Amino acid sequence: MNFDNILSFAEFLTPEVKMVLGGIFGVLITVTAAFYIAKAIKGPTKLINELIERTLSWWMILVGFAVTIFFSRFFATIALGFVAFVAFRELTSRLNLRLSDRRTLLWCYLSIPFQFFLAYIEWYGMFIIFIPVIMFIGLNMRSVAQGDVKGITASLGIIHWASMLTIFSLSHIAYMLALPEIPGFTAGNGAMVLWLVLITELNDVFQFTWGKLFGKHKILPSVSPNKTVEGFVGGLISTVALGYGLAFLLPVSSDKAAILAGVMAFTGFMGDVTVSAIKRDLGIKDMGSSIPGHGGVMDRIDSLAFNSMVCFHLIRYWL
Amino acid sequence: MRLAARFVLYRLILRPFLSLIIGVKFPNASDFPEGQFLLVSNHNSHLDTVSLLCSLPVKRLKDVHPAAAADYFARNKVMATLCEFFLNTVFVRRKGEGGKPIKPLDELDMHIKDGKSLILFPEGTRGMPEQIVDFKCGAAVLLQRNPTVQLVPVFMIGMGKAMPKGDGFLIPTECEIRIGKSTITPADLAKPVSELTLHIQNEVLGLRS
Repeated sequence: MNFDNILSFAEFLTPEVKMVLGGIFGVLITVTAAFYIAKAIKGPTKLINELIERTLSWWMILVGFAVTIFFSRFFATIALGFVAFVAFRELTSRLNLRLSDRRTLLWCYLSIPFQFFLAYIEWYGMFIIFIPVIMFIGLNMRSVAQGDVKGITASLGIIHWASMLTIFSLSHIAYMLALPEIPGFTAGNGAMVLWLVLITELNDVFQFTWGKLFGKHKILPSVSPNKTVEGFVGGLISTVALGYGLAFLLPVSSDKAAILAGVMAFTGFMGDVTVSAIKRDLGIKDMGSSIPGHGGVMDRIDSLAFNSMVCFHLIRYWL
Repeated sequence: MRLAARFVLYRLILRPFLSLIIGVKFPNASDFPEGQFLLVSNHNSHLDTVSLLCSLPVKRLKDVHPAAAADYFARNKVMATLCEFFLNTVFVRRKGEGGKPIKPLDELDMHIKDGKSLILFPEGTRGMPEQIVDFKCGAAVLLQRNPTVQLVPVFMIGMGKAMPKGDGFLIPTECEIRIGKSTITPADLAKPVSELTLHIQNEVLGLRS
């Protein structure tokens, strides 16, 4: 266990990361300026105002992300743990659990700091079994010990599923930052996280844009009526191209980066529609209200929840 | 001095804890009307009172008093002093000493005549989460006696899941405080107490959906 690096700041701000972050901020500045100029010339239409509002919220998300990940690894781990905590709270508040599940939930909340601590100290063997094995058994044990059997099947399923989707998945990002130095790879662990988040979020944007432009055939009409085959395929191709182009952020070859981006286009889509399906089942529009005007944290990280695990394990397999 | 202490307690300690850790969604401070009010709300948890006080503008806290049952909250000196000091509680005696009948509403009426704003939970006690029982008539009687006091209907969601009756453990759960605008007219105040009570109850319940 080594805590020397608690006080090391901005260790992930390598030249590669600075270049990509600078590029993103450049694009955002250009887009913001373009919208404001359009507003000044054409006057404040509804579309322009909505686009400006969205751009401003992207500013907040991007600045928040950059500060969270690149300030220091210690701070990033705590911040990621807090995001997982809020997402887990949103899910369990809405998924119709019983009052007798409260003690089991308490165990889950206590597992969050421990899981992120395991990520921080790079204890891989424990990190990878803690939620799927130890907590899996522990949660069942605690629920059964409570003695309330009416509805216990649903509760056991919901609670462990929510733990995996939020706590386990996001802790992979914290572990990614903790990976030991990889020989010949200069971009740093922060670069991997930047690649993961960028590919995941832009895949959503690409799917949305391609779908708006060419979308005809609905891909899952009963789950998410706005998703189309054309949007998915267009998003997949764009994401693979982007992943290939940004491969210098990863410790694997460009070809492998392209394959990974392709897999993540699919799994990101799966995460997105999984959360959509559950919202549809519950009859709600958003999972929470933690981010003003943006729904909940869970609505923002639905694709990332699957992708963080996929990205981490494929890279780890190739290393 | 007390204003500063309240600011530290409610705005710097309790409110950040409730919103970040427990997940309470607070209303806008401007939703509270100016002037003296009588706040009525459903009641599921000990969190209710604290959350309500945290959502009020700090400057007004000195005039806002939650009404609490004396036989429960003032059953010993320490508890009573803590309630009065931190929550500004006024106690309502539900039972007279030695079996003598008392009029709890007269005491509350006196507090209102003193210019205090009261917080009432007309269900009488904390119920099961997300369930509501019929209101008692106290709020209606007090409104009829003090027609200038504004009614503030409030509905709270989720508090009973974060900290239900009979379980002191706080479990993070998203909760929400909804503040409504009362539509009670002078004509409503002239109605019989039972009808006015039902009207108040419907105003609170109307905030649920």
